[in-house]
Formats: sequence, C-alpha cells, structure tokens
Amino acid sequence: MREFFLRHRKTITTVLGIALPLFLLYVHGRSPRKTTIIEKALIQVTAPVQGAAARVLSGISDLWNGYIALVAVAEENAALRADRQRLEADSTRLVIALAENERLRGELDFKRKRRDLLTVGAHIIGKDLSPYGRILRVALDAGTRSGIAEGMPVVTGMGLVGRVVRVSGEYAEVMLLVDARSVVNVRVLDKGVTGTVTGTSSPYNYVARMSYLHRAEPLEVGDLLVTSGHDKVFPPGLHVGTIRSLEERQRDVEYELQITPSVNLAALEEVQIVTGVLDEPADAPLPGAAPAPAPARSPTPARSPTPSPSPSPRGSP
Amino acid sequence: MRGLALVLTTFLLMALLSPLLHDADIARYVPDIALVACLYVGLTTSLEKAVLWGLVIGLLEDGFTTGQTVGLGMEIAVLAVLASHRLSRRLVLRGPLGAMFLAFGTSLAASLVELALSLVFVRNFTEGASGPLIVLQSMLPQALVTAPFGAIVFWLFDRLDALTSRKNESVFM
Repeated sequence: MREFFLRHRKTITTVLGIALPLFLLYVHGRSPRKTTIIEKALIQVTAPVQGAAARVLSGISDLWNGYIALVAVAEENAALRADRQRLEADSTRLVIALAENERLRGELDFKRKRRDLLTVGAHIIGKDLSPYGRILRVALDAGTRSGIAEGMPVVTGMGLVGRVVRVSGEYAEVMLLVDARSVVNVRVLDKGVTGTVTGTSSPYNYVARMSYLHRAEPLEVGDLLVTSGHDKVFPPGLHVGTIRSLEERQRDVEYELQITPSVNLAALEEVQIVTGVLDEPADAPLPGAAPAPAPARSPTPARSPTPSPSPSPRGSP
Repeated sequence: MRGLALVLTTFLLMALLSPLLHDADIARYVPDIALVACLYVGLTTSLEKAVLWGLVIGLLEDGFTTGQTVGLGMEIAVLAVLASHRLSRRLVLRGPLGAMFLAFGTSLAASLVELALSLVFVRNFTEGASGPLIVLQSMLPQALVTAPFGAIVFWLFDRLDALTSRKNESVFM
C-alpha cells in the first residue's frame, strides 16, 4: 500500500489537489447556506492581518501627507499667494471701476437734468495740495482745443466745483469754490435769502462762507444753496453747498454763515466744464451729440476771477 | 522553510495590496498576486510541495477576496501550479519580460477557468448582476494589471530564495 502511494504519489497529489478545491467549491457554491467553519477560519486569519496592514498603510499615508508631501504644499502655497495677490489686484480694480461707474452715472444724471448746459468732460490730472493734504487747485486734461476758456464754471453731478482760471492748449487749471478768491452769487433754495459765497482757503477743511444782508425767512442747518445766476458767471440752479452752522458773525451790515460745499472736493476725479448755456433746453436724449439748434451763450462773461486774498463782503445783486 | 517563507510573503503581499490600492484609488482591478506566486512555486518547487503550497495560497486568496466562493481560488491556484510545473521543464524565462508575459497569459486563462467553475458550481452566479459579463469584462484589464506584478513578485521571490536556500539560481536565468 505504502509502495503504491510512493509510486503514484504525483498522480495522487494531482488528483487530490484538483478534487479538494472542487469539493469545497461544491459545498460553498450551494445557495442558500450557512457560513462554514472554513470560511470562519479564513476570516479569523485574514481579517486581523488585513486590518493591521490597513493601519500601517494609513500611518505611512498620514506621514507622507503630513510631512513629506508638504514640499508640494509649499509650492501650492506660493501659487495660492500669487493667485491671492492677483485676485486682490483684480478686486481693487473692480472697486475703482465701480466707483468710477458711480461717479460717471452721477455726471450723466446731471447732464440729463441740466440739458440747458453745454459741457465738456475732463479728468483731474493734477492736484495742488496744502501741507494738510487739502486740495487747493486742480488741473484738467482739457484746454482751449476743447473750447475751454477762462472763467468757465466747473461742475460735477453733485454741484459746483469752481471755475477755470488758467487755460492752455490741452490743460486747464481750476480755482476751487473754497479758494479765498472765489466769489459766487447764491440763493438759499426755497427761502427768500440771497448772498455771496466766498472761499476761506482754510488749511484744515473745505469750508466757504456766505455773506448776506438780511434774512427774509429763518435759515436752518442743512439748507441748500444754489447759484442765483445773477453774477452772469455761474448758471443758476447749480448746487453750491449747505449751511454748516447757524452761528452768524456780523461784519458791518452783513451777516456770515459757514457753508459746506456740495461737492466732495477731496475725491474729485472727473468734472464737467460748462462751455455754454442754452436759452432753451435741448430735447435730444443724452448721451449723444451736443444739441446744436438752440442758440448758446457763453457762461463766461467779461468778468474774470478777481484775486483778492481777503475778499470783502459783496452785496447781493 | 522556503515554502513557508513564500506563502507568508504572499500572504503579506495580499494583505497589503487591498488597502494600498484603495489608498491609491486604483482598486477597480486588483493584480492577482496569488496567481503569480503559484506560478513561481510551480516553476521552482517539486510537484507535491507545489500543489500543497498552491492549495494554501489559493485558500488564502479565497479568504482575502470578499464574496468569493471558497474553493474557487484554490482550484485556480492548483491548476496554475500544475501548469507552471509542467512548463518548468520546457520553459526558460528570459528576464522580467518573460515573467510578465507568463503572468499575463496565465491571468487570462485563470479568468476563463474562474468563469467556467463559477458557472458550474456557484448557484447564484448568473442571478442579479451579470457575473459572467463582469468576469469577461474584467479579464483583460485584470491580466494587464497582473502582468507587471509577475516580474516584481518573481524578482522578490528570487531574492527570498537566495536568502532562505543560499542558492543563486534565478528563474529569470
């Protein structure tokens, strides 16, 4: 018997090797059935080893991701920094564009409301600053070639800025409303009070003062001042400022009040120069070509800005 | 001693393979390490021992392969051992490329055997999700994934053999 096994051991091994799995396959292939002892044993053997292997690999993976892969993180960090800087620059540009858009909308609204005014748009290209950072006068990128002349009013959608005092081919210089040499005839809106607004050239803030002879009606803080047009320099109805305080100061026969300009002079970017006033407002929709048919008169009279370092009060016309 | 070392190494490789491939997010097709190990065992071991180790490796594969019917991996392992043992008299592997070709061809054949055995012995193989179709669809990718591991596992077992039996013969020649 032993000799038989030894002689045929290869055949027996082969047959057993093939038959045993087939038997197991037959037993385990039936359906439905319960978990066999072999399956339980296999799970007992393989599951802990597989769990341990997963933990080891997880540890290696954590080590890799936490330390070694940080080299890539540094590069990614640099890329993200660059991205952030680019996005911040984009964001700043967007904010600037939005602010510009807002301002230009204001200018457009102004042009729509004041169709009687012929205007030329200009950018602020230079600002003279006081030691305290106040803007004293501004330079524009429009000059005689754009039809600009001395004395022409300069406005924004918010109101009066000042007037042109010097002009050359491509550039013009503007004297601000708050300049001590600036004089504007005004009236208090909806009140029977007229007077003149002169600048103070205050180094600390943008303030002007209004001089008037008498009050037909009581004034209040915040009352709006508009150009009266009596000086033939500034077209009527332009916003000049609001009453800052009711602390009057009597000077001879006149009273003085402090005025806050309507325009934020510190944030000027674009302005409009009034080159003419139509007797009848044009009906053509804006923006578009300048209305031609209506006769225009220059808002710049012969009177030029009168430099007077300490302006004397002027009576209302 | 040598056979035990080969089986333990195969066992460890199979244990590491599943989480490793899962971490690498390429777990769809798993290389058949057990099959490659059986090929090596068949090529380098006497028939009786080869069949015995083939049975053990096949049983371990059945344990590691979720949902696989016990006996299926064993049968394929024994057949692979017998085939490679038969081939060992005529086949001389030339470098890693030969091992890769051998692993590729055997993997294809193993898939067909798996299909046939499953159809015969596994009662619910054709129920629900189409088992035969899955086996046929994964046959080629499985073989392609297994092929490089043929060279890797053969090289690893060669080194292991050199350590355990202090011989320098290589199946790669």
